[in-house]
Parts: sequence; structure tokens; C-alpha cells
Amino acid sequence: MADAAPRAVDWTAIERLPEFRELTEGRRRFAWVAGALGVGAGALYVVLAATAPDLMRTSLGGSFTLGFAGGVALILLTWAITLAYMRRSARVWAPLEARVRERARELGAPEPEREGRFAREGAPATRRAPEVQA
Amino acid sequence: MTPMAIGTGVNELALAVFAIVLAITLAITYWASKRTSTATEFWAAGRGITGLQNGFAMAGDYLSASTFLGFAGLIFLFGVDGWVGLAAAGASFLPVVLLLAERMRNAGRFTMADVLAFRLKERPARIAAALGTLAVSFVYLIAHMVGAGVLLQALAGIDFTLSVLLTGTFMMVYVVFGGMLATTWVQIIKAGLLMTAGIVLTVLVLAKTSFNPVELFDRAAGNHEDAKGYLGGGLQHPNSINAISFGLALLLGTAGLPHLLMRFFTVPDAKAARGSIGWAVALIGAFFIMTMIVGVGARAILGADAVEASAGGNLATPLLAEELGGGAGSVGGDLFLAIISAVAFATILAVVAGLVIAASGAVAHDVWTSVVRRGRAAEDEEVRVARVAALGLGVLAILASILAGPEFNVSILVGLAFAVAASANLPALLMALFWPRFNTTGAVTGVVGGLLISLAIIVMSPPVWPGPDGEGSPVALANPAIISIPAGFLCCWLGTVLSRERSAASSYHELHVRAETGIGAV
Repeated sequence: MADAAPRAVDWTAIERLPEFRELTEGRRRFAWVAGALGVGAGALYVVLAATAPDLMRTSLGGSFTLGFAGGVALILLTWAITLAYMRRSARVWAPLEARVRERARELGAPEPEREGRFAREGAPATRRAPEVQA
Repeated sequence: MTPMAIGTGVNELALAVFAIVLAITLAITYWASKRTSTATEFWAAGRGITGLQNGFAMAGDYLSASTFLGFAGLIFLFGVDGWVGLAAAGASFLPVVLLLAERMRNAGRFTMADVLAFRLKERPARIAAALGTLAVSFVYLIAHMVGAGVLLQALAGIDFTLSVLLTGTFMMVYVVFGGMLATTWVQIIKAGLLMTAGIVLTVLVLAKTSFNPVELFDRAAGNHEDAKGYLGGGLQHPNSINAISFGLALLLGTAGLPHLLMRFFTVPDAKAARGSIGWAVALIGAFFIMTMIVGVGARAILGADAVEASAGGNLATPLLAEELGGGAGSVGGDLFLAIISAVAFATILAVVAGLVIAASGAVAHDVWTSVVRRGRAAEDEEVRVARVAALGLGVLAILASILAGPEFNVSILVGLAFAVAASANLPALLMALFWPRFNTTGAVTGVVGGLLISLAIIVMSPPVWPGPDGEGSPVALANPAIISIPAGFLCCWLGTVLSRERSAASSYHELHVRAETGIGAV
């Protein structure tokens, strides 16, 4: 990429930082477990709806059957997982990310670039050179 | 007009509401055109969109006429069978939330290909990703343009060909002049209109049974000749393998939709990307549940008599609006029908504009700048090529949609686009982000393999195979997902382990750190 750092950065050294490990391992575990749960529940619902109409016809009150309720439950589950991820991001992972960035700066990692509206607010001369991919 | 019929002559009221919507979008485009000159402005709206705005824009990008009209119609016709696909699409956002949103924002610049090109050999990786983007966008684009043609013809009395031309022209105007900024605001306004329409329809439907939803379901089942099937499934897909395949396409396709993933590049940082997808999930889930109530409500309120007038279910929502407004011929009925039709039209415009801008990124940013000009194109050249590409793709899509004609089933086309997205784009994207050993050969075989396998099955399948109802088609699958998604992952893996290419593990470390932390993100 064009924005590869001008000096060599030891990316594996950043990967070895304890903060980085804590961040990625925790977040990845959450993502795979919650993702498997949600997508698995979706797949189960799709398969059951296709193969077990008698089960899907189970009434949960009049004509409101398991077939309809299952889909509503799937969306509620999607909301719950998304909300849990957002809250944990704000509370746990975002502060960890900031700490990793700080430590990484000491290891020579590049600063985030600011372009677009941030550049436009300044002088036009600060606009980045053509964004070419080397 | 006879009861339960739409589409006799030109509907002036609907045209007037359409004109208002179009005037607003053109004003936005004019405003946006003065703020769109650099590549970052053209594809990423200057990265100045907030998380909340982008959440609405994502909902506007994702909720299509296929949701508002198609799925509501399928639920009207088939009950549970129609609802399963839509609910599965709701859960399809989880991989985007958990795995892609922040990492795409951190590692990419304008297109999906940026993420692949980061750690793989740039030219082959970009060509493959551009191919995947173009294929998905084009199938999806045709589905929506055909849908627009059918809708405008039925609702406003404009001829199919003219309707497609009109939709395509506005789509090109938004993208060519206003870029991503105009597209974003068209999508935000459309999402607001669509959510409002959904809430109004839901409340009016529930009011019919004094806000007792169980009674609504009871009435709907009572109005169906096969109440057991309506409540338990088996009506839409008598063959359960087809039902599973269609459901899987919707469950996994979202995470491979290039126009949706591109929206993450319009916000300033990963935090805003996370906020956007949170808002999008909230809005889209709520809209899906409202769509279920509208679909069931259409069956409860309109009854079986409306099946024929609903034209394959697609017009069930407008018919319901007309009925709720006071019935055909009444002032309220006409007005409500006109408003719902205009919302549906705005919906289509917002989606096709998002698709064209994603496809123009694949052509100009990935193929032209990186492959043809080997990275030596200046930025204003890239934007110029993008505008020409948007124009060319728009014209192609118009022609293809007119050739496909109004007989093509819109919902089936959308299901096919999702299957291609999940088979060609998703495997390579996930492996690039999470598998250290993944290499360029794996990415190319994965994207090309997933694409060819899904397209081959589609061509040989009943919906596309020539002849009445695709009789005698070599493949019985109506949707390729159940075979082509595992095949796409397998191709990525096989290509990687069988090639002698050195692994791209060293560049993986850089991508890994950048994607997880936002270090060096643009």
C-alpha cells in the first residue's frame, strides 16, 4: 500500500505486546463464540423451517406459531449479541486499542493519517498526494 | 378502478409524489457535487459521515424494494416460508458486526479489494476482487432495475422500458455528479421515509385487530386456503433443499455485499464504523419485524382475493396501503398508495446508486489505477475514470434490465446475488483477515472458483434455464448457495495449500496489527 510506513516497523513486535494479545484474544474469542451462536441459530432455524413443518406449526398462542416466533427470536438474538459487542468494545477493547497504539508508537508504528474533511478544513496544500498504490 | 386493482392508466397523484422525491434528491446531488472532487470525496464522502448517519445510510443501502415489497409479498402469499428468509437476513449482520466492520475500516481505503491487496500480490488480488464486486453488483443491480420497472409500470402507469430508463438515469446522475456524498444522503432520506412508512403501516394494521397481534395471525391463517402450510411452512419451497439453500444465501450473503462493506469507508474511524453497524442492525431488524406484520396483515385484511392483483406478491404492500387509506378510489386510499409507491421508488434509487458507486470503485480504483496504470494514475484521473465507469455501468445495466424484461422474478434474482456474494467474496475476505497462511493463489482461486461455480449452477437452474418454468434444467437447485458457498471456501483453501507460492504470512502481521488497532488507518 502507498501508506506503508517509510521506516520498517516490526509488526510482530507489536503482536507480541501483552496488551495486543489481551485485545485480540479476548475480542476474537467473543466474536467466534457469539458469531457461531447467532449464525448457528439462524442456520438451525432455516433447516428446521425447511424440514419440520409440524414443529414450526406449534402454537405459542392462537395462530402465532413457532415458525413466526423463531424468526422474531433470531432478530432479538442478533440485537442482543450486537449490543453486547458494542458495550464490551466501548468498555474493554477501545481502551486496550488506545494502549496498544501508544506502545506501538514507541516501536515506530505510523500515526493514523487524517485526510478528507480533516484535510479540507486545512489549507488545500495539505491534501495528500495522488493516492496511488505502489 | 375496480377494487383490488392497481395499474389502470397513469396515476397523476403518484407521479406528483415521485416528482417531489426526485426534486429533493436532485437538490442534494447539486449540493454534494460542489463537495466532490478528490477520490476520498468521490468514494468515501470525505470520510466525514457520522456513525448515526452511516447507520441510516447502511439501512438505506440494504433495505431494498425486495424487502419492502418482495418479502412482504412472500409473507402475504406463503406465511412462515417468506418470513424465514427475511429473519435469516437479519442474523446475516452478525459476521459483519463481529468480524468485518472495524477491521474493514481500519485496513481499507475505498474498496473491498484494498483489504485483499494489502497482504497479497496486488494486481491478481485486485483483479479477482474487482471481478467479485462487479458480478455481485451487476446481478443485484439488474434485480432492482427490473423491480423498478415493474413497480413504476404498475403503480404510476409508466411503461416498463421508460421506467427502467428513468431509474437508471437518476441513479447515474446521483453517482456521477454527487459521488458517495449524494448517494449517502439519498440513502439516509430513503431510510427515514421507509422506516416512517413501515411504522405507519404496522400501526394501522395492528389497529385493525385492536392491537391484538394473535388475532391478526388468526385472521391471516383463516384467509389462507392452506392454513397449516401458512403457519408451518412448505408452501414456497416444496423441496426442502431449495428452502435451505435460499435461507443460507440470505444468512451469509450480507457479509459479501461490496456496496454495503464500502459504506464503512465513509466514516472517520473504527469507532464510528462500529457505531454505524450498531444503528444499522437496530434499524434493519426493526424493519424486518414490521415487514412480517405488514405481510401477515395484508393476508388478514386483503384476504385471498388480492393474490392475483398482487402480481406475485410484489404489490401486496401498496394494495394494503390503499385499503388502509380508505380503499380504492377514496382520497385517502389514493394518497396513501401514492406515498407508499414513492417510498418504494426512493428505496430502489438509493440501492442502485450504492451499487453503481461500488462497481465504479472496482473499475477505476482497482482495475484502472492499480492494474492498467500500475499505480501511476493521478487522483483526478482516477475520479474521472470512476465517473465514466459509473456512466458505462449504468448504461449496461439499463440495457440488460430491459432485455431481461418484466417477467424476471425479482426476489429470485436478489437471492442469487446474495449467493454469489457469499460464495465469491466472503471466503476470500475472511481468510485474508484471519488466516496467516492464505496467499494470492488462494484468493484468486477462491473468488474465481466461487463465482464460476455459483454462476454455473445459476445458469443451469430452473429460474434461468430457458423454457417454461425452466423445465428440463440440468440442476434442480433454485439457489446455488448450499453447494457454492462451501465450494468457495474450499477453493480458497485448496488454492492456498496446493500452490508453491511463498505464504503471505509476513504481510499478514502488518494487516493483522492494522486491522485490529487502527494503526496507520486512513
